[in-house]
Amino acid sequence: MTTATPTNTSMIPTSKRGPRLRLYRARAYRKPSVIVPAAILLFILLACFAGPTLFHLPKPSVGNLSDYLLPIGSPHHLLGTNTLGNDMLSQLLVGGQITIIVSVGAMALGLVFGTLIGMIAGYYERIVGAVLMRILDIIFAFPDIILAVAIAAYLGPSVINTIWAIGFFNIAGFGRIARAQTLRVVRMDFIVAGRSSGISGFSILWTHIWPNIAGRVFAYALIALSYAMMAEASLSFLGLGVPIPTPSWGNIIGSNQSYMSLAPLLIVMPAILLFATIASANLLADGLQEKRASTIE
Amino acid sequence: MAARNIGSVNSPHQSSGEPLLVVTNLVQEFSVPKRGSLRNATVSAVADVSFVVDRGETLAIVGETGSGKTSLARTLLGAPPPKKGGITIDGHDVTKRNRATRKAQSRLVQMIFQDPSSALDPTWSVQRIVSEPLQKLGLSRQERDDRVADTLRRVGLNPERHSRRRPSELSGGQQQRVAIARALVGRPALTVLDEPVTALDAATQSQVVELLAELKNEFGLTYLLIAHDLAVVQQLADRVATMYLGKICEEASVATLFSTPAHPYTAALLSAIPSFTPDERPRLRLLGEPPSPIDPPTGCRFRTRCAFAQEVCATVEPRLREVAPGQNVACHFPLGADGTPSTTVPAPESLGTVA
Amino acid sequence: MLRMILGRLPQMVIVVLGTGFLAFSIMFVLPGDVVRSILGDNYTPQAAAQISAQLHLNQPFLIRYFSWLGDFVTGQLGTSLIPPHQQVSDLLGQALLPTGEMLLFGQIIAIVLGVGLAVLSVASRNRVVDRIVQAIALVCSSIPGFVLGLLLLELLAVQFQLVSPRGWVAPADGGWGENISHILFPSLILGLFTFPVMMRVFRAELVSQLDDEDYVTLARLKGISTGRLIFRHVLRNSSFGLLTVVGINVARLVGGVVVIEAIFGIPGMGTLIKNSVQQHDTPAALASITFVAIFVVVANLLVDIAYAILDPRVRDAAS
Repeated sequence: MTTATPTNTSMIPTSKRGPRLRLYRARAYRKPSVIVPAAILLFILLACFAGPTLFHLPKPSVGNLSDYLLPIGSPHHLLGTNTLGNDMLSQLLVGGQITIIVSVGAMALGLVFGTLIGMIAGYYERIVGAVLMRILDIIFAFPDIILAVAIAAYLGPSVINTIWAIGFFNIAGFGRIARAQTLRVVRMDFIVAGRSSGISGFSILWTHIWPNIAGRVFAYALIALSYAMMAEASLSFLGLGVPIPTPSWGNIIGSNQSYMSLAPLLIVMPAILLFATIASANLLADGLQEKRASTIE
Repeated sequence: MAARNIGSVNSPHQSSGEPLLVVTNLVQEFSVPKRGSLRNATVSAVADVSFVVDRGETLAIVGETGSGKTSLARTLLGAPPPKKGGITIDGHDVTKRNRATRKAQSRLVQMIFQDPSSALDPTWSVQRIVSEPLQKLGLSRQERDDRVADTLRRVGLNPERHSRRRPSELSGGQQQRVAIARALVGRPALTVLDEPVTALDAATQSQVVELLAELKNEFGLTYLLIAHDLAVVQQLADRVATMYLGKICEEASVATLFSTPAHPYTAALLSAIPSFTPDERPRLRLLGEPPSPIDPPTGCRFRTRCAFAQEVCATVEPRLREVAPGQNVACHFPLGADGTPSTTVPAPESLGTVA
Repeated sequence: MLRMILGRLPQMVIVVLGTGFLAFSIMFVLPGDVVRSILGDNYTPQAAAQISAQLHLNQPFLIRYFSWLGDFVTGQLGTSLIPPHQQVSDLLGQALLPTGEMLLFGQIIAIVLGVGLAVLSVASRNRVVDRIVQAIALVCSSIPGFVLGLLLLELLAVQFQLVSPRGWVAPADGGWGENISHILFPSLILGLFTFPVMMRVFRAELVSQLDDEDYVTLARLKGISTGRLIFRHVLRNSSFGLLTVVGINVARLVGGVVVIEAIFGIPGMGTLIKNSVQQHDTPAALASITFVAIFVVVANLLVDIAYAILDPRVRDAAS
């Protein structure tokens, strides 16, 4: 391996990471398979969170029954209304907010607790690791939806409870990824070197192991996000997730299920948004992984 | 020994009559799953090994792959701690894992690893890697940075140019220099070198060996060198021990061991390299494959591959004993100056019949 | 081999006990007055006391768990708290057939689609075909199962009337032919929903075999075409990869069953779990959830064992 070093490296004002590295990273992300899905996700995010105020949309659930099932392009109702006369655009965007908040929250819950458990299980391999892994196995053995159904049903439908229910089964997935990655890193000699410098276990976990597994964990986070989004939609569809009248993409589909033949767009529109968001998250995960494969190896 | 407090680590190179590293009856074992059985098998990696290393001295440990030399090196670092036996470095019993020894450890023993790409955290900068052993020493930020810059300069790197780089942005030779800087920055009493140049290309190898020799002379370092390349051993070591299946076979000064090896295993190792064997001595070959360390041979562990093995070798394990001044051998029939066994009767010392 | 099975058994028992414990905790530890939500408007102190006694609510949590566990192991699953108070074992028995059929057919459809498309995309050595297959997989894995179900139901059953919108006809009512022909459509959706993961894993397995294994290089040198190579050699060696994906898929199928059963109104395990959980029918919910967990754990163990029997490398490595 040779180092083609630009001689002026030290003259560029240096950040903590070093300028060369930053440039090199930015270039690796600049390609269609990363930019396109990232742009779609960003657009959906902006539309859902800024859209309702920006376009002065009516509240999603204050429709007038006399305005029911207005077609697309109606005055004041760009995407029409639903069977209760609620503005569909507002329903979709606010519903998107809820769906995104729930799935990001659930993913973050899994990320924090799962990664922590997985790292500890991988680092303290013997008794602690075995016990933690059995616990993760138990959570993993539960088909996720069934677990979420059980938790959500007993907690009662609400936005927060949906986050808990979905987040709980996310822990196992993150735990397994983090443990496998930790087991890979723990074998490295720099861990032995760190320990022989008197560095404590938790310090090694945080300063050596976490930076080395973070890439893989975040790549999995995108996949977990798409799972969480599907789970939110499925739970809300079953009536166990986000309760009506708060809209979410899942319960919009669920509540309009019986009007499928009459007004298919009420279901198709949220379905398209759900699909676009999940597909973009999946594509972005693929694109980032491609980047890893081509630049790391 | 216990009376000496941790504070004395701060001046590790004080002269005292006692050797820097004292290893007594060290045992390291690993359990592995056994085929067709519900119980685990035990691999005996280091079997009852004792030796000492004096201050400023370099002891090389040589042996084939699987002889237990790397296990020995890692045991000295407590990764993992030994199953039995004692390790004393600069008067500190490092087999006791408590807060105090952990804190002192970076001043007691550091290791330079075989593969620099595994020894350096790819997410850390050179600066941060090298300063890691200083973290627990209570130095100020300025002192730490100065020490790191000094050490980097000393190993032939440019602190301005290299300290912000990641290991992946350096060449293999530069990476190993960083690893050396990391190990030496805290001035450890003992430095364990585990095949320090094996992963490097030939040209870089000689540079790094030269650097290690310079550093040793300049700072009066004590090395424990694990190697299989005898040329490296000859350049760096004062004394050599040969290891076979977790046991020390022979131990002597470099000159003695290379010119008149007394253990058949040592002789066979040297025979593999043409320039090391004087013409008048017969060349010895190792017979067959090394046996499994899960089920080592009875008596002398080397007997299954030894050209001179006799019945007694299968029943009585030879003890390490002095056959010439400064030359210790664990063999019932040690080789004489002509390269053949000098006796036909095992000495009572090697049988262990005398106290 | 034997060592592996024996090693896995205690692990499996622990996992099953743990899942039971988890289900039990959810039912009793989470907030909410169980008795009140069971009785609802019929709340009277006498009824409450009776229910409490029935659920052993007046005993410590762990004792309750172990007495439930003892009952479960000996097959005393109790009676449903919801009128008409059927035996839980009967409820489970009735729910087993529809779900079993769906899992079986869904798995077969997922294997056919997953393996077929993976082989197609690799064997064709054609970027366009590969891209199309990948796109299909992406679409199917990005649509939630219930959306896929609703859309296909509307399109195929309501608009074009190609299939019956009814998902379940009991064999006693319409005979086995009717029964199977009705369950196939929901199973297809289950298969469509779950095959992309299988396809991806299996495709990666095929690609790695083609890239890395020496025998493939050798065969290539002899001039054997990729297609023939895959069918004659690689598929056999990739059957381990197939087993893995079959194992992974079991949990996903079981998860999908809940939603698909809800759409088609199929009276299977998913419906039983959903209803019993929603109605706080604790004996039925506990029994059905634990039963499903055992099913998934045992399925994974069987896959591991099959894996060990097939692959000498795993067999010798012993765990």
